[in-house]
Amino acid sequence: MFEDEVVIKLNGKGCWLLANYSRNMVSTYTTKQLVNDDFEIKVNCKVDWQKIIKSGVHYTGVVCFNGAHFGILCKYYNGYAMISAEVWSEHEGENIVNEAQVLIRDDKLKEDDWRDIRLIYKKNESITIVTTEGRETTEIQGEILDYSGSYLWVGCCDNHKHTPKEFQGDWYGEIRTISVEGKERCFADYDFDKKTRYKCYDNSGNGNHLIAKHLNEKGFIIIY
Amino acid sequence: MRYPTHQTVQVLSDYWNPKIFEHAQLADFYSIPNFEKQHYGFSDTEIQKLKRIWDWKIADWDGKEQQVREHRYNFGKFFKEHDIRRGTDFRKVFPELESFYVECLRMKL
Repeated sequence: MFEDEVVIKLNGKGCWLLANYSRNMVSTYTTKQLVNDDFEIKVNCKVDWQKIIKSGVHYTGVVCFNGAHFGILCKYYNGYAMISAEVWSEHEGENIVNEAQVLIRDDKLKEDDWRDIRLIYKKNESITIVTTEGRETTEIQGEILDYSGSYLWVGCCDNHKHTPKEFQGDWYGEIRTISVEGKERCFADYDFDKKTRYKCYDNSGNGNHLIAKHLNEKGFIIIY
Repeated sequence: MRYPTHQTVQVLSDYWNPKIFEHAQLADFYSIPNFEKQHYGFSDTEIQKLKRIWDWKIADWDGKEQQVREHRYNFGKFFKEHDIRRGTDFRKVFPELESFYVECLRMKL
């Protein structure tokens, strides 16, 4: 018995998100609770590096909190491609980025395989990226910024309309699974097996269904 | 539904509490944005109705335990009589509630 592969495809024209609140108050584990402790994001995806390079954007978000970007990013600049985990913190009165990144071999840029990417975050201690090419950990300096009001984006860094194009970070590729593990329990688990044109089902039981990005007439994200 | 009291959600055991909430979450998944006019889906009002049933089910008040006991006792009595008078069979129609129904029939006030 053959089954169609269930994935979501991101091509810069749309993306998915999870707001920091649940419109109908059905979430039992909010992003606000998640970012205030250790957590881990696991993604199984296939990166379309060619389209990322062609788009001319230096960094693109696979799974990312907006504001000062916090999550898994695919970057390309100065001829180097890399996958990184990053979070911003305040250190000695300045906002600085703490990033752990792994370089991607040139032969992968033509056609990349399906890969697992893991971001391991220890609050105010360290951030780690793990993928096929290796693992890297960076110590976090200072206190991380407040991400309790951030949305979790899938397929971009931040698609609010007022965000300048170069900071929106549209990502290109396909995603098979995403799971976000909090310190004590699972926060969200998506396999995209169950989805509508508007929502992707969260298998964790927390009601954190992803919503497709839609803007109202004034350009604000509609949470539904 | 709050009346008749022996047929409200309150007569169910606590086992069903998370199930009610899960259905509110599922309705939220099948919800649609307000601007959508072509496709069907749950509205905010419908999701809130399910949420409200759950809220009321898990709420506590003075004398609730005794009231629920009486409602469950009446639930058993009512459907036993219903089966006799109308020639129906509650257990066949609602097999998932069979053990609960038997428990209600055995209750003594």
